[in-house]
Amino acid sequence: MIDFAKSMRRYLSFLVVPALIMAVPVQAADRPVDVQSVLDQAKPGDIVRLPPGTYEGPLLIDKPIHLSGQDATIIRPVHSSPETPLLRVETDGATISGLNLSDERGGLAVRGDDNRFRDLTIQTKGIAVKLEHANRNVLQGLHISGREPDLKKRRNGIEIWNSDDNRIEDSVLDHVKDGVYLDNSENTLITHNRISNSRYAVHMMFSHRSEVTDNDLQQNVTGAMVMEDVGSRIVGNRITKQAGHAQSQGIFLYQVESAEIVNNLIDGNRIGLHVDAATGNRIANNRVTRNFLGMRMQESAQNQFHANTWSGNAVQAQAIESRDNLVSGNYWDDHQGLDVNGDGSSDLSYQASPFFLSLTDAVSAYQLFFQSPGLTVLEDLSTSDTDQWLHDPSPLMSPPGSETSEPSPAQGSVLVFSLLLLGAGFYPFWRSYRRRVSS
Amino acid sequence: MSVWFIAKREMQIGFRNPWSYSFLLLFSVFSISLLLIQSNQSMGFQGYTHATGTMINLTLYLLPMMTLLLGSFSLTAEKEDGSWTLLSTYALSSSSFLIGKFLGLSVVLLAILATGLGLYGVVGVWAGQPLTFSGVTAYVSFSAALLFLYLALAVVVGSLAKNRWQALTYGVGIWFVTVLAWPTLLIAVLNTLPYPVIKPALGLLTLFNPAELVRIVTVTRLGGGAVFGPDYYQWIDWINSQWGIATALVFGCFWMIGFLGLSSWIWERGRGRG
Repeated sequence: MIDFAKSMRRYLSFLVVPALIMAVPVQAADRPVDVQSVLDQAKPGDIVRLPPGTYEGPLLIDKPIHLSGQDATIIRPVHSSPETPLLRVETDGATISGLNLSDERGGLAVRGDDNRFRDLTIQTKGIAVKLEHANRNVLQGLHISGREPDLKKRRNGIEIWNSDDNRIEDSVLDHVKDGVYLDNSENTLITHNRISNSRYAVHMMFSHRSEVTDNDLQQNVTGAMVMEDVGSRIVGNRITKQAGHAQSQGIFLYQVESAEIVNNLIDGNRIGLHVDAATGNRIANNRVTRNFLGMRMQESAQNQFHANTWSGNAVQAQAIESRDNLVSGNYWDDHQGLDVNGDGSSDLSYQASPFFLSLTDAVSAYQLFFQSPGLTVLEDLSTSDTDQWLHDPSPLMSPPGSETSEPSPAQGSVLVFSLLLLGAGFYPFWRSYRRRVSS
Repeated sequence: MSVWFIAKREMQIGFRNPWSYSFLLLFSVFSISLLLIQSNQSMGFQGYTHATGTMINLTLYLLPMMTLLLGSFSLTAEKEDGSWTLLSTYALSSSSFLIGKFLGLSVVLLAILATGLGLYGVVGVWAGQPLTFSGVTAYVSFSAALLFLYLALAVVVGSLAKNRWQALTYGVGIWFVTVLAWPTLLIAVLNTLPYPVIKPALGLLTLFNPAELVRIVTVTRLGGGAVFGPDYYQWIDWINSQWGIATALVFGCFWMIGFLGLSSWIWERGRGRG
């Protein structure tokens, strides 16, 4: 206790106010207070308030109380046991809010159901948040930033093991290994988060029927990595700029079944959508734009691709060893369609050749020939076995959901400029013609 | 003074030349068909999309060929109809003659280009295409750059060829190699080289292909530089930097001076023999 007091003297604040629902203040003495003993004394349902300041962990919460930090920071004293996380919650129905957890080794560990975590800031080199055998917890407004610069040595931001029905929302994760790692955890909802500069923003393993919605996944190695999963949904996310790494991709589906990938913006990634050994998934209404390769699919079957917009991708799509995929009614911006009956979809089908990819796979310098006029000639010469190609029998004539283009305000200047060009170009011919006629 | 005289004479001939009228018609029809193609895409010439790429490629098929033929035929015509024999009795250097021809031809070709592109803009606005000012100017600069670089080559062809048929053969040959067969030829040749040499060799050879060079610069300036992949980050950064356009202009000047110099040397040899 004396050692403890000594070490606490370094810190400014010594005030801990445990209170009942009536919030009766219990004034501590002007010496360091053992937060753990206050937590131990609190009764279920109590609110324990931590005023601004720095406190020592690690802490354990084992009854359903509300620990409300008002921007209080928990740190680990030098001599404390290294392996326990800074804050452990082993109860059901507790609420933790407004804390900063700052530690080299590990932030929050939860084992219990129906807990709520709000407005926590966690900075660590270890696992920021770990849920194990913990169901129906809510993690909201977390700010997690990793302190380890080396990607290989980093740990995960939020790690969930064998836990179902948890919710992660409105959180920001940056510079961690995987932003959210789900293992054997079903029905997890990951929504309105921003995850960047990490390995995989969302990494799902055997986590069936989980939902990833309205997140912003940017500049990671992979945006959403979904593996051996059934019935998950990835909806309305912005998955952008996963392009800085040799293995970068927007969404990777590996052995995924019955997933829905809908309404996402997949922009500026190395590979937009990577589908591997996946079956029976629905991929619809996504905007797959400006990726180096829009989609790569292999060994996949019975997937549905409908009403997606594929535009500005260096190569739109490549499929090998895949069959029975239903690709229809997508918009391909490189397609010269022909709409005979005016139903908005082309009567000429769209086919994606894997030629350019196999060429640049062999020698990356040939990427300079991208869309070179002569390349189409070579591509036609090398056409063989189009059965393997991706094939859309009814491609759309214009992007789905796009409004008819309005005349831009610069139209006037375009018109004047064009008239000037036309006049300047045509006048000498006209004059020369007149002279000849009159002479 | 004699340069101006030749240029003016070239313009007079050029604007009367039936070849010019046919190409004027062809290029105008071509521009309007570009619009028809684009009406499917509703994208306009804004940024680098596959639609823009298609437009660049179609222009690359027609414009270099047109320039090579009109340019070289104008020179061989001087040899064939004997007007060079007459001109060479005056105190007129080969270089001023060729520079004059180059300038005169540039004006004629630019007039054809301006008519076509002007028509494209006017009809485009009328048809409600989402054309932007920057898009149209980008397309104009792209076409003009192609025109000047290929015209310098056309002057070389015209100096080398004895008659129109030879000029046609050489012109089509240059067009075929630089536009149509370029990737096929290069891949065939470069694949015989050791892997580390491929990229620098490809870069070097690209500098001598105006079609590829202008295309790459245009695609990059339209914001599509990333399509060329990580191997060309430095190129792309350079082209996009404030020095990009200046470098391109300086390169274009060297290109024109170089090939006009070569042509006057060839022309001068012919004159000595004649």
